[in-house]
Amino acid sequence: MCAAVAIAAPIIYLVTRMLQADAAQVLGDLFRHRTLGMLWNTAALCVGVLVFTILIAFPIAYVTTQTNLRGRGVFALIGVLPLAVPGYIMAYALLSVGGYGGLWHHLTGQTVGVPSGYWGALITLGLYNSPYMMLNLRSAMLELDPALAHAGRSLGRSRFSVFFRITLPQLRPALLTGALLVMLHVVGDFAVVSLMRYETFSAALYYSYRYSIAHAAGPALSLIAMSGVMLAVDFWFLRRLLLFPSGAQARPRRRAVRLGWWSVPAYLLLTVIALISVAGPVATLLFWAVEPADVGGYPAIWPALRGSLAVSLPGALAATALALPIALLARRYPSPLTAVLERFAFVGYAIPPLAFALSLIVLTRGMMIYRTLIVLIGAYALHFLAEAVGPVRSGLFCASPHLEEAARGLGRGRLATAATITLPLLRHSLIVSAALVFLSIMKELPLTILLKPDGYETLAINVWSYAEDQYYAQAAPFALCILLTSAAFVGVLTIEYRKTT
Amino acid sequence: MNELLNVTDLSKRFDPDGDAVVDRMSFDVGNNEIFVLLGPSGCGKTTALRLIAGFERPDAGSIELAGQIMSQNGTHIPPHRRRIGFVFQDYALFPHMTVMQNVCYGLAGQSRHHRHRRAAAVLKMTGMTPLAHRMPQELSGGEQQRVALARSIAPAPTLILLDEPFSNLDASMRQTMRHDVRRLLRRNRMSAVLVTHDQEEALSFADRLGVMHNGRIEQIGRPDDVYHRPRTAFVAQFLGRTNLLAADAQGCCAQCALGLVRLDNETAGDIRISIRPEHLRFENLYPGKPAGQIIRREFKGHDLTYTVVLGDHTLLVQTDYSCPFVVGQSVRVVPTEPAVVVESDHGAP
Repeated sequence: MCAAVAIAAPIIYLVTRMLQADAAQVLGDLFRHRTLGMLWNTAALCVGVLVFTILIAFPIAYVTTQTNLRGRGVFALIGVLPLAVPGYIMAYALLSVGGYGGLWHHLTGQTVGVPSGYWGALITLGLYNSPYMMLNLRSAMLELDPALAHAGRSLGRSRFSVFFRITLPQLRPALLTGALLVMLHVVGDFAVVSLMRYETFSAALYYSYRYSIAHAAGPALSLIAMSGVMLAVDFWFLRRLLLFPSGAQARPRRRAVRLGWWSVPAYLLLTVIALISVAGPVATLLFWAVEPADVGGYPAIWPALRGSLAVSLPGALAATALALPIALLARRYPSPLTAVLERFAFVGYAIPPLAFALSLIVLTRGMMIYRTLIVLIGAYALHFLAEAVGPVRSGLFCASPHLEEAARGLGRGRLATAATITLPLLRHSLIVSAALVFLSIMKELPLTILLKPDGYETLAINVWSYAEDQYYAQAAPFALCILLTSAAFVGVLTIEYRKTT
Repeated sequence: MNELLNVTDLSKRFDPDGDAVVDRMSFDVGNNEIFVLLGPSGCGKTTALRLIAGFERPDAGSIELAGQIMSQNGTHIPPHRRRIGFVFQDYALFPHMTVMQNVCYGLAGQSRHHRHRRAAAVLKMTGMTPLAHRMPQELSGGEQQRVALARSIAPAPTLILLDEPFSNLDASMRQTMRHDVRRLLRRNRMSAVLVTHDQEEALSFADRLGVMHNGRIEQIGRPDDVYHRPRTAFVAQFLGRTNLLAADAQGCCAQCALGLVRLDNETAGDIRISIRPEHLRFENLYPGKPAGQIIRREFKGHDLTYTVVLGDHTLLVQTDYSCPFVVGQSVRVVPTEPAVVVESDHGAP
């Protein structure tokens, strides 16, 4: 309940304050010529990234679930890998190749142009977000009932006809969910568009905020409105698309599509994606990491790493601690109220981080906690609550509610049951939750930029500010440090995740 | 009488505006008695069991166990203080504990030595000693069932509740487990309430059984009594196949589609009667007596079931495998036992 209030309050406060204070000015801001331009920019980027992610994600999901391609498992992993490289590191790696003093210039003495602006943002965000689409499509494809396709074939339709008339419609919910995630990330993204110098609402919010808080309200409201519209449209579509399986539980074995010569382009595509999204950035980083830096350098990592850890650890613990009661209530005492509570966790995730941060600043101004780490950690916990709720929720779904009743029947009270049954059962899920949130906070940028106390340093802040000023060599150590932590945690996550299922 | 469990006028509704799931239900269970609640799915039998265990609070009525009130008005003894064992349909074995740890779980508060001795004894009883250090996931369905039973009897509860315990087992396993569980309960002189929708299981497992319908108990009695003398049409139909006929009674006889039949009770007027298929047999046609035509013959190995059309009625007749009649033949159907007078629905007959 408190979580719900904590997420909703600042937003409502922001909206009402802004509307009360100088409605005319805010509305004037909103409908200026520039606002329309930014709306166009944001929408164009959303659509472009969406198309890009589908183009990447669909083939990967298809070949790794429906075909006999060798090494499917490895390629499924490659499809997820872009997640490990934060968007702003990808953007920085891409930008640092071109131009005078860029990587190419260092190596060959000639300068090349690299995509920036719209195309740069599109490529970077597209690569970074493709796993969200891929994972959704993949799990939907794994869930596909082969019997339906068999039925289609036996009714005299060709394989292509069956694919378009039977298989594709069943993937629509996954496509919509994936699209929603991708678009929310694009609208909420600040790091990539700022490095790429492409002006969306997020960028506008940040630069107006630097000027004055009042000026940032317009873009903030636009951001919230845009995300709200997306959520509404998506839910409206999804509601009509909920498809229920029919018939028997037993499913025939899936017959893998033989790729034959098609496996060559399949391998090619997968390799290119792996190269561009992971190997490329890592190689670029390594190049810059051995370049001598004028300022900063490796000793500067330590304070930044300490700064990152000092917010990531408590943030992860707080999010997990909040997620546990939310998931428990929703699962064990299902009611409209607890369902709304669970939804709220996802609302926190959907609100663009810059807008959320701004509303927290407006709300806490004049309070003791204004511009302290408490607000920052609280913001992390609420924003990433959804990531923490997910694993706990599925952990609870795996455990029969009878287990707790069995313990009660064997003479244990509520507390003893929680301590001996519920918590041990959820141990791995809780670790996964905390690790996921920890990882996200390590990489997080927009909330940190706006809410950090003055002079506070984190790894992500250093990467971003050096990269923005084109000090590529200085940014490299911090970026590498983030990647290494990510890699280590992805290892922990895979091990723990196996144990939860 | 020496009663262990008294359930009186128990009622429960989940939806305040909906029908009661359990509706003024009353029954007793004696010491060392195995009582079975039988009914179709959704009749409220599992809810009744959960009320007795204390997982749910009743809206009205009382539950008394060994002279102590468990639930009544404001009183609600929490489940962990009731000394009632519960065996779940999905067994609910703790997946993070070994078989031994599962069984020891209910023995908290005893010394380690006592715990292990008791657990070992119970595991031996259920034949699970060799698997004591396995994890639940490594056990077959039948083995999990045995562990669940061992776990629930380890703390020596006053009463054991079993919720459809055999429904997740395959047919051959079910027979064996039914037999073993019953013998185990008997040998340990335990009282139990078992809930099932399987009439064969209820008839073979119970000392006494109660047939439930829409939250109410329609009839309580010994299995053969309930089978042979069902009180209502529902009970007659739910406990195996039967022929329900309208009849006009006069004293101990009644006129129905079969002609004049004997009744098990004296009554008068329009009534409904139930005659089991095995209480009907064929005879050759006799002028002036009603004749039917055989439309189906099902061979089932040790016996035969015929379907006969007689006027507006379709009758089932069960005979032994040597019956010579064939499909299409006209026959006379005669009862071999008195017909049972049943109430057509709730309320008056």
